[in-house]
Amino acid sequence: MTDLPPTALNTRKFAKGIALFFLIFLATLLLAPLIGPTSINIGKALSGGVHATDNIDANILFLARIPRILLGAVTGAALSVTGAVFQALLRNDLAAPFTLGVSSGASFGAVVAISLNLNFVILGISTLSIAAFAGALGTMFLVFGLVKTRHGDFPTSVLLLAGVTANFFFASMVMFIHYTSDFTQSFQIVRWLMGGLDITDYKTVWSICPFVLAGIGGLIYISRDMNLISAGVQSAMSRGVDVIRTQKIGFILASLITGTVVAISGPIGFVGLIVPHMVRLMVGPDLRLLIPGSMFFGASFLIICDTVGRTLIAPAEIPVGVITAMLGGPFFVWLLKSQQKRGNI
Amino acid sequence: MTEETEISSGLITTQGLTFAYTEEPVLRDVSLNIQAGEFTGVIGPNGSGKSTLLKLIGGILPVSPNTVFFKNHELGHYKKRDLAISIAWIPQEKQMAFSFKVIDIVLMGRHPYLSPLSFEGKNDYQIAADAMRQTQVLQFAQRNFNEISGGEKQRVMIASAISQNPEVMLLDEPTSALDIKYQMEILNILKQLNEQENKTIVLAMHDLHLASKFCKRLILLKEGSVFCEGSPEEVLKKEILEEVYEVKVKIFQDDADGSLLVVPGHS
Repeated sequence: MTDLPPTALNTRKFAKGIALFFLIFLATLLLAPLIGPTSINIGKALSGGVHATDNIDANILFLARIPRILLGAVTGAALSVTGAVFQALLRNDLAAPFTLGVSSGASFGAVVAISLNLNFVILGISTLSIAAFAGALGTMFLVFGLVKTRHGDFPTSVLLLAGVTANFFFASMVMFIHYTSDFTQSFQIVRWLMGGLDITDYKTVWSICPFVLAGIGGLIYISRDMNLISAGVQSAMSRGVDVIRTQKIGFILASLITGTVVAISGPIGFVGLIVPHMVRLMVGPDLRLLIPGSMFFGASFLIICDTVGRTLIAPAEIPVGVITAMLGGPFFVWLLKSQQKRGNI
Repeated sequence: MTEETEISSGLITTQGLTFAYTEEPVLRDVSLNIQAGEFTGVIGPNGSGKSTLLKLIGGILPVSPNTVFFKNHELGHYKKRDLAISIAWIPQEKQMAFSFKVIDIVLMGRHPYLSPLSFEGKNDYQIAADAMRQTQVLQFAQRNFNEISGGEKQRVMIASAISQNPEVMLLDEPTSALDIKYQMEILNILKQLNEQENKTIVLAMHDLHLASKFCKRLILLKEGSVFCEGSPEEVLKKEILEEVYEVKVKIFQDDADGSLLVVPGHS
């Protein structure tokens, strides 16, 4: 008889983990709208309905805070899941959603749109976002086009180098355009490069939500295959994993959801690097739990960071990317130390 | 398919197998038969193509058509999952990028039996536990794989392959990085798997004494070609080894079990 304690990931442990991360997410989602530089009466806000223009509480809640919180949730989720997937597929702790050049490509697209004064809206999405998405997508194909699969594997060092090169190339293109732009454009460019979640409509959030959720769903579907790849490419092959196909699907889906959110929110750094590490320290490296865990925890993390960002020096706002690093850094150090003490790493 | 039936002589057959990573071939025109239930050692100097040969017959590296056959069918025609259930390839132990627990690694052997989105069930746990008991790593189940010793890691990798329940186990230098105690442990586990469960074992190794002690058949590679093959007594001969390894040797026999000791440097 087995005397093995069932402490590897099983359905029960999985459900418990997901429930925990979901509760954290739910709590953040419910509490964050109540916090802000202006205190609002929640009862009054809910009584009038969304479109009551004279109801200031409702306006702040439904037009200023909730769309922004929802965008933070989608962005945080997408960046964190992408980080977890990239780290696993590249078997590298330092990989992040932007490692393969997606964000600098998006920035380049956005900056081109700004410098050409392309400022209108198509199907509810601004040309700026469309250009940024095109930039992200273009970079993705460029980087993967540069890398030939070899003996049944993506050579990860070549992939990383191609990504780093793309990052530097597009960053210098952005600087070049920035340098030659006028004052108004320059301001717009800097604001975009800082990243931010300040939107005032729901349409943007609903337009990116399906893509991000479908992408994450696809990544969860191949999560066990990616687990095996993260433990060793050739061992994975010997256990029946179609490595090339899994890597392609993984990289493309992850790059797509990152491109989608970066197109709206701009390049928000640190979340995608640090959240997967935090979740991994809590639940281990199994992507079946790490992906959904990073999704909920990343969403909560970015909402919290943005809430701090818009209240700390109110009425002014601190860009959320600044807060992610300021809050995330110390928290990560604390987590790292506590786990080291317990001997988990 | 008619050509395939003509060469129906082994469980694994290679025919004129040539492979190059870049331009210079690492394997040249290798034709071999490995029978079901054999315990075969692949020996030869560094760079002679031992690891590459195992990876090719294990389906890790891509093979050209009509060169490698498993049960008389081309290796490349098998579904990856079906091949995984039949042949397990076990690399030399090494650190992993992430801190998987030992039990996680062993359960990965169950991957080809599971459908996407499913978790390992009671049956899979039972199989993993049995495999770990067999290789004496059950007590490490909850330990971080990266924190156990090299010999323990190698036993965990073998446990993982056992839980894959293959017919053939290919091992890439499972003993090269280990001290003599662990070397004996690993080889005794493999011997047991071969004798009691009729697993076909093929392993690449450097230690010629251990090769003669455990393997029933040896394949000696030199510069990517089969130099000779046969029983340890047939292969481990002074003139053969001196030509292949380019070093003077003297060969002694252990009276206890008849195994051969190859000692270099005697003129």
